[in-house]
Amino acid sequence: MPRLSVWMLRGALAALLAGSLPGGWLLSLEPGLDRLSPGFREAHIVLMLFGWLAPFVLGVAYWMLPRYPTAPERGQPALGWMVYGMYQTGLLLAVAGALAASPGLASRGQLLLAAAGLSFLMLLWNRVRPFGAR
Amino acid sequence: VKSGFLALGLALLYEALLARPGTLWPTLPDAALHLGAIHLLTVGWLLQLISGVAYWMFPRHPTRPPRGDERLGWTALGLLNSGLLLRLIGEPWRLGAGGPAWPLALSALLQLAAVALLIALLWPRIRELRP
Repeated sequence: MPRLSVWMLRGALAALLAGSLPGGWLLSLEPGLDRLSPGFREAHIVLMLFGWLAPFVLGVAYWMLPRYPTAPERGQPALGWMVYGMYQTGLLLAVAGALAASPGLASRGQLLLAAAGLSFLMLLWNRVRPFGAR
Repeated sequence: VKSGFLALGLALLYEALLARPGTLWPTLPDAALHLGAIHLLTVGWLLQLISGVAYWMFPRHPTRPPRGDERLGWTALGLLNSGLLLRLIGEPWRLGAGGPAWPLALSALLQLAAVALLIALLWPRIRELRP
């Protein structure tokens, strides 16, 4: 497993735990309501979808999709790290914006998340190909 | 993975229930059905499918047992599904008929414990492989 996938998958598991905590809180205290802690609900959703689910799937894809026949086998690693750094920064901003009830901060985080997510998909795109194709 | 498929099937049933005629089970709260369907999809289906495949395919330990302590996995499976089931019962009860809060608090604890066990099981298997 490449080092970038290790970081992505472990980061995703950390986000799964972090996102489960506000989820458990909401379920225990106010199921179906968001009166007491609307920021918790937003942070829970962001952490579960963009902190846990997406990076876990993308990290496994980066590891397992067909590799290029020549080095670098998984595309430029530096590009992958840069995009992952952008993604995590966007995630932190989006969660902080949700918890601080700051729509400006949250939307900047979401924009960064979207840009980084799309860039990561572009990094993977050419590795999705039929068997035998070069 | 099979539990995940069952949860997906149940989520589809919940979605169908949301489209029921107004006269059918009018006391069943739509908010609880909606939340139940979302969590059946995300926790019941996606989390279980992903962690089930990860448990199968992630790099194995060089020593025995190759996939880690299997009992941890079974316990996590039991806790997660008990927690989810408790939510599916407790949430409509609480929202529709003012039922008690404790089943939901217990459900949250069971699911949190399951997530912690899953992480403990998978974390050491996420590592660099040297050719």
